[in-house]
Amino acid sequence: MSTDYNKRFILFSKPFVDAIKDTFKVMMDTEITIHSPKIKNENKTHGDIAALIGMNGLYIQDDEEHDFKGLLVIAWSMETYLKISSKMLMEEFSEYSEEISDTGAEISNIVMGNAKKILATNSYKIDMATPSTIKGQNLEIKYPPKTKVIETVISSDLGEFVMEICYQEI
Amino acid sequence: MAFDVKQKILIIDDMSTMRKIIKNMLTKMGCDDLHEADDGTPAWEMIQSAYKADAPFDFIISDWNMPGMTGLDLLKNLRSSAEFNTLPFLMVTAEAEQSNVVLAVKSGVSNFVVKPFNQETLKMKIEKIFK
Repeated sequence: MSTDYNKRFILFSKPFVDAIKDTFKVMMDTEITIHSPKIKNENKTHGDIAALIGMNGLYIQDDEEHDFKGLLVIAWSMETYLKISSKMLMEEFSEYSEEISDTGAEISNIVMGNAKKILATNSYKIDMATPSTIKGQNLEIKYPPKTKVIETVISSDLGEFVMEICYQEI
Repeated sequence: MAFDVKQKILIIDDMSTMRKIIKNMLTKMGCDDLHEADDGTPAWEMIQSAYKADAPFDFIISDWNMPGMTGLDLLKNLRSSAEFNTLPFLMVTAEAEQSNVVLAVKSGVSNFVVKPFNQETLKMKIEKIFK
C-alpha cells in the first residue's frame, strides 16, 4: 500500500470520528473518548451487535476521478447496546427486543450521513447503502482481501465499543 | 397558525428507532395524537384516508431516505394535490448536503431537520413552521 493511499485513508477516516462524537453528544448527551486508531489484522469484530453500512463512490485528485468502496462497522457488547438504546430512545431497555433492533443501524446511518457531508468538501462523492444490524457472539466480518481496516476503540459513560472503517481504492 | 400540541401528527420513517425517538420527543412536548408509518406509500394512503374520514392530519414529519416511496416523493405527491398542498411537512434526513436542502425547498418542504438532533432542535424547527 502506497504512502498516498495511507494518507488518503487517514483523511477519509477522520470525518467518521467527528461524526460519531457529534452523534453521541447531540442524541445521547454523552461525551465519547476516541482511543488511538490501529490497523486491524483479523476478521473478528468484538461485540454482540454490529451495525454495518456500505458505501461506494469516487474521489477527485489532480482532476482525475478514482473509484473507491468502503464499509463502516460499529460494534457493541449487549450491555453497552442496551444502555445506548435506553439513552437514545429516552426509555429503559433491560433486554434486547425488536423495538431496539435497528438502533445500531440508525446510529451508523447518522454517522455515515454526516461523514459524507464533510467528505464532500474533500472531493469525495459517496453513495450510501442501506444500513443493517447483525447480532451474535464472536461476530466475524469478512472484509475484502487486500484491504486495510482501521479499528478505533471508543469509551463513554455508557460503555466501550468499536468503530471500524474499511477503505478500498479500485 | 401556531403549533398546537393537540394536532394530529404523522411520523414516517423506515427505522423504528427514529420513529420512537421523534414520538418520545413529541410526547415530552405534550403531543398525544401521534401516528406512525414505516414508508411513504402507507403514509400517503393514511393521509388520504384520514382526509376522507374528516379527521385529517395537521402535520407530517418524514424521513427522506426510505426503501419504497421516499420522503421527497411523498412531499411531491402532497404538493401536487389540492387538498394537501399546504399541509405542514418537516423533512428529517441524515444527509445534510446543500443540494438536498435546495431540492427539498424547491419541492415545497416547510422545514428541514438534520440528524443528529435533540428535542430542543426539533421543537425549534416545528415552531418555525407554525410561526
